[in-house]
Amino acid sequence: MIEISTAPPFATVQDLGRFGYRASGVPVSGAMDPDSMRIANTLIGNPADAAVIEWALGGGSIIFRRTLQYVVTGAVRAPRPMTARAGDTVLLAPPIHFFGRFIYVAIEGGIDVPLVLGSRSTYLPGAFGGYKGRLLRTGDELPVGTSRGDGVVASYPPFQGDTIRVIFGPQRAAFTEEHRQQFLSNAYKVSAASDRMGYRLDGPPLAGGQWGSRLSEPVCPGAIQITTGGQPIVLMNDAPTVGGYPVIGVVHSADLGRFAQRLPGEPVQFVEASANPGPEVA
Amino acid sequence: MIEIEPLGDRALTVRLGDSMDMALAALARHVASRLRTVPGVLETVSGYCTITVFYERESPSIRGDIERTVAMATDAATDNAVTGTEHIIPVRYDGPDLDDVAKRTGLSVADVIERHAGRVYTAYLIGFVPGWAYLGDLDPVLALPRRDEPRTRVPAGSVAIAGRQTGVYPLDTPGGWHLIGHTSATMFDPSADPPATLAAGDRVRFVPTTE
Repeated sequence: MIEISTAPPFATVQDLGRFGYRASGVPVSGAMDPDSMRIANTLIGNPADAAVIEWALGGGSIIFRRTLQYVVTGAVRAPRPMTARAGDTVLLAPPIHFFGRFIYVAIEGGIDVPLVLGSRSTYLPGAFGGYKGRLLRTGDELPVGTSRGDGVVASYPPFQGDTIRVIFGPQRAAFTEEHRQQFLSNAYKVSAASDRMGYRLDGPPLAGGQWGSRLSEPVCPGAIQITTGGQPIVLMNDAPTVGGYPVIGVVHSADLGRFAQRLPGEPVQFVEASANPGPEVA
Repeated sequence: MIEIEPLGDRALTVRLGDSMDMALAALARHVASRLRTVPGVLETVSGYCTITVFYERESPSIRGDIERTVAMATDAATDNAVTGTEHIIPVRYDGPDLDDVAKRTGLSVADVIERHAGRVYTAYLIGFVPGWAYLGDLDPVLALPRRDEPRTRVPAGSVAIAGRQTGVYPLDTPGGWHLIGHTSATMFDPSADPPATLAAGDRVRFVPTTE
């Protein structure tokens, strides 16, 4: 058991997400930066998909009721596995904005909140999953499990540069080649209107098109919708499973966590990628 | 015209057409049921005229397997009516927009209720929020554009209409449809499996009640 003795403004329990229920309209949720989550878990011997705390917007503290290993990854200088003794209060610094907006706090054994539809991830708009379906508050006591991993430590994918790969489609006919080129050459910045449901991008509106709403169809995290005014919104983990705005393309799944770590005001440069980049390097 | 386009690197969208059409939606459900048998496919979502198929990761064969399955399923689809469950949803017609809908359609309130409750609807697509079903087709006389000012909070259980469609809000959410009534029926329960009461292809009848 651990106690959140000082909660930050935004912290939720997340694992890798809730799969298999999109036909019921249930979003996948899960850690916004899954690589940092996997690394946190495997650095302290947890299974890569054990539930962790996704933590943002400030610092705080945790009281350990038992002696346990823990580690913080994501927007930190260097992750360092530590051991907290029973009764220790561990102070957590706010995310370092140079590195991103989310930190991931993994606790030995994993956060053991009940599985809802196969996942421990919090889905705030639906108020289910995670800890009582809500943000963590000061005084919350979280159960800790006993799960152990296979000892293989995860790592970040090889550095691909600062650009974000986008796969054009699935509504190619709604856009012209010019729109796609314009989208790639526009200087976008992450808007302040960005949360677990979606990140709006500030920049020149995509001109020369009529992008009213169309028949809704399934979308996914990373899908880039173009609103009526020509502004892009990148759908994130808690976005609805269907959408009615045209989708110009989708962020490559391997780049979405890196994109999610960008703060309001940070630039975003997209590059075109193919859906089939050839054999994956393990 | 069947088009298959990538939805990122973990999904494909199969497009059978571009309209709201009962026959296309039924074909989409049939294709989706076939696609679920393809190795590597994790889940499918069928909509008005599309099927989205999510798979584990790009493999040399998965795209070909999906394309072949779609071709076979659409080719041999002479009798593809996947029969959905029929649901009866009791509605108390007392929504805050009921009088306005009557005024704008030139009908009496009783006539609005009769036309809304007087047909069997099919669930085209589930989404927007967990458990929400886009139900059609609504009587064309009742078709109104969405409200100019969406509400910031629509209570769960509200029965609403917009365009040629109707639906029930499963959770408290923002919403821009016209609220004509409410139901005590549960549309979404995260402790149930499946959590949504309605699945694509299910049929729904609304029955007026005073409860």
